[in-house]
Amino acid sequence: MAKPITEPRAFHINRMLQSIPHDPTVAMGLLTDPEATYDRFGLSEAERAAFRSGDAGAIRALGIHPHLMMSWTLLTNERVRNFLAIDPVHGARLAGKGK
Amino acid sequence: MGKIVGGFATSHVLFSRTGHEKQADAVFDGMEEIGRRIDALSPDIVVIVSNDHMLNFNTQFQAPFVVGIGARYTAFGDLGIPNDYSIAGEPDFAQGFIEHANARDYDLGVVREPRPDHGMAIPSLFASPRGARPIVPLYTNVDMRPVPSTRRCYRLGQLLADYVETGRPADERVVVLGAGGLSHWIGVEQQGEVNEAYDRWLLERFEVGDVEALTSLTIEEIEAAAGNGGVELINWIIMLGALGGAKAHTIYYEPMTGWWTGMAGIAVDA
Repeated sequence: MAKPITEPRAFHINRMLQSIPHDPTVAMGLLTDPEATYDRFGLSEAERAAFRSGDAGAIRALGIHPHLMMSWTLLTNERVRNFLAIDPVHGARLAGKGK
Repeated sequence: MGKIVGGFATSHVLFSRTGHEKQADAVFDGMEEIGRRIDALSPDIVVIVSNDHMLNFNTQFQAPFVVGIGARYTAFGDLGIPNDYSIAGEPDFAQGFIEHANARDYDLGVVREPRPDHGMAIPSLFASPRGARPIVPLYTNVDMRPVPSTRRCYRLGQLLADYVETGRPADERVVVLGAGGLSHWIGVEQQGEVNEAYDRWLLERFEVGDVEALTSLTIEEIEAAAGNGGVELINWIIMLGALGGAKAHTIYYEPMTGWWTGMAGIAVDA
């Protein structure tokens, strides 16, 4: 049987990560007072340690949905955030396509 | 009766050009070419088959197929897409399709006010300039098992064609655009890899209209060869079903490790 692509043991962490784009208090909280945000979502000490380390492998090993790694990276890594966006040169060619 | 006048598929990301300008521009040119070809077909409606990326549907809720029934959609605004990019919807077409499919043993979910992320909005920027041409979003679940099978996706595309041909007003012109893929790995160790050989094999299957090979692929096989992101191939297969398995022409292909994705686009003649 195929391994589920998301693991039930990590749902509380998935909930935290998938809130980032919708709830500014989660996004800001993770940047300014992460421990309080970990409390809010009920992360264990071992789970907090993975996020404190910032190590992608350690965070992945918690069993989070892989796509939610991107929410975390986009929040915490400005270089990646700037890279994963429509290039201004292409944006100019899209002028008038968006509203 | 309505008519499907064209089918296309394209990858659905655009990132920074820095460090790989030539490839990035080739991809953008390819997307623009698809936009021009869609314009030339003068469609009344574009059905866009794509998937969300944990913004509208996440680990709280996933459904195999979900149709947008809104009169208007406003982009979520990820990846630098303007968050006031507003696209016309087509509720009547969407509702009719859901009923047509239901009568043929396919039960589709509905969503009224999704905020399309890049998966739906990037193809829309080319298919519906300024959001003026109505789109019907058809979302697939590629994120949580079970993912619908390739065969089931192809059959849904056939049902879409049947609906257009038998259930829509005379002279209505419809384009189907599949979005996503090709090979890419997201949030896993292999992130950044591209399987160029597999991408090119897939493109050849579309070029020769090898429906049997494409609909024999299991989701596990696709994920092993093309990554968890590569499962978006099912969006292309729904489009192919709607076009009756006709042969495709490759518009662009760039194995862009710099964008962590095999970037590709095809056109299928109706």
